Amino acid sequence: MNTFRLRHMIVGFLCLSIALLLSWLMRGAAGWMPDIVLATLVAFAFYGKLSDIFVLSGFAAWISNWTDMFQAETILLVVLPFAVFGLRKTILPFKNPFSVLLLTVGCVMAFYAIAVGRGVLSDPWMLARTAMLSGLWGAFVYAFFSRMEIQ
Amino acid sequence: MRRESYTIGILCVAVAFAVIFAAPLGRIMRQSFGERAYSEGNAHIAQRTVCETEQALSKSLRDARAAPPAIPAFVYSNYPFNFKDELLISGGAARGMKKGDGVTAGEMLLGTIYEVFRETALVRTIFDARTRFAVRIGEKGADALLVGGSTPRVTLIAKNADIREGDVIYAVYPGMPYGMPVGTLVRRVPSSDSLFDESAIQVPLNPADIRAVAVLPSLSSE
Repeated sequence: MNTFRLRHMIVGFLCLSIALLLSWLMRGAAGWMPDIVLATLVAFAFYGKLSDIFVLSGFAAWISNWTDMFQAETILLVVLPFAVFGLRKTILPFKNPFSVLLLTVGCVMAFYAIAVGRGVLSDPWMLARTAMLSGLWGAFVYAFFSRMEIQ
Repeated sequence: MRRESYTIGILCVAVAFAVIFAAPLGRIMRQSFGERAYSEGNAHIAQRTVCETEQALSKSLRDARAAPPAIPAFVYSNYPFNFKDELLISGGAARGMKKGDGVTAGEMLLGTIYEVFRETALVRTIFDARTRFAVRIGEKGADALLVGGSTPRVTLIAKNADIREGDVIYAVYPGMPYGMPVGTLVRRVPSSDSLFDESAIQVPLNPADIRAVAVLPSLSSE
């Protein structure tokens, strides 16, 4: 396996593990958390190959699943990074942290619109802060990947 | 190049297998993440683990205060995202649970069952943004509507309702015993349309800490 791709996979997996751990800790302590797992997957979708994205998003979906059956959220965790990958390969003109931030915000909105439906309207402020903080995390992870690529 | 494809291919198959055939394992991994590993003698560990488990379970059941006809149940996992708040509990249809049954923790109303599987059930708690049910406030029993969320609140309180901060809020939920406590009134403020008042609720429960619950069989037949 080529060293560069392997390094990306390992760093992507570590970032995802940190994101999962932080989410659980924060939700337990504050009852709320930014969607940094989804943000990490979106950032990774800007670098990874299709099969790499499948491995990471599949792992995230597997470990995040809270019932014995597939739920909409689990499926979205796999589908949304693929959608981002498709956008990156087709119509996205820029590949920079700002694009990642915008796409992460879009993905978080889409995630909750599909998974929760009208329930998101009950607390628009929570949706806004979740999307913004997730976007910032996504941009940060992307910048980290970019730095790794330069080195 | 070929070796690289094999490695990624194997990883893809492993993840797909885990997602499809070993879904509960991910849940268990999530729960036990960070737990320390022991390296003592197996027999000693097994004995100690059994004793500790019995102690922990009986403490959880005491905390849940499940008195008959309530069915005691353990919490397997929590919803890991925002807006919704669901608990996967033990029991399910095999233990006689059904959709609409009330769920309490420490004699406080926590939520209701909304999906039942053979050996598990999903509970929608009052911390879920989709939760809505009628409540009454204080000694006078002022009517209001509980709206769930990370900070649950009561809305549609009449302007002339004689209630004050600290008044108890209790459920008026079809099929459940009348007057299950939910929390207390925090601060009464006018609603955005100024036609009614509303208030946040102080709930003495943290869903992340709940390990056991009591399921109250619904009084109304489905």
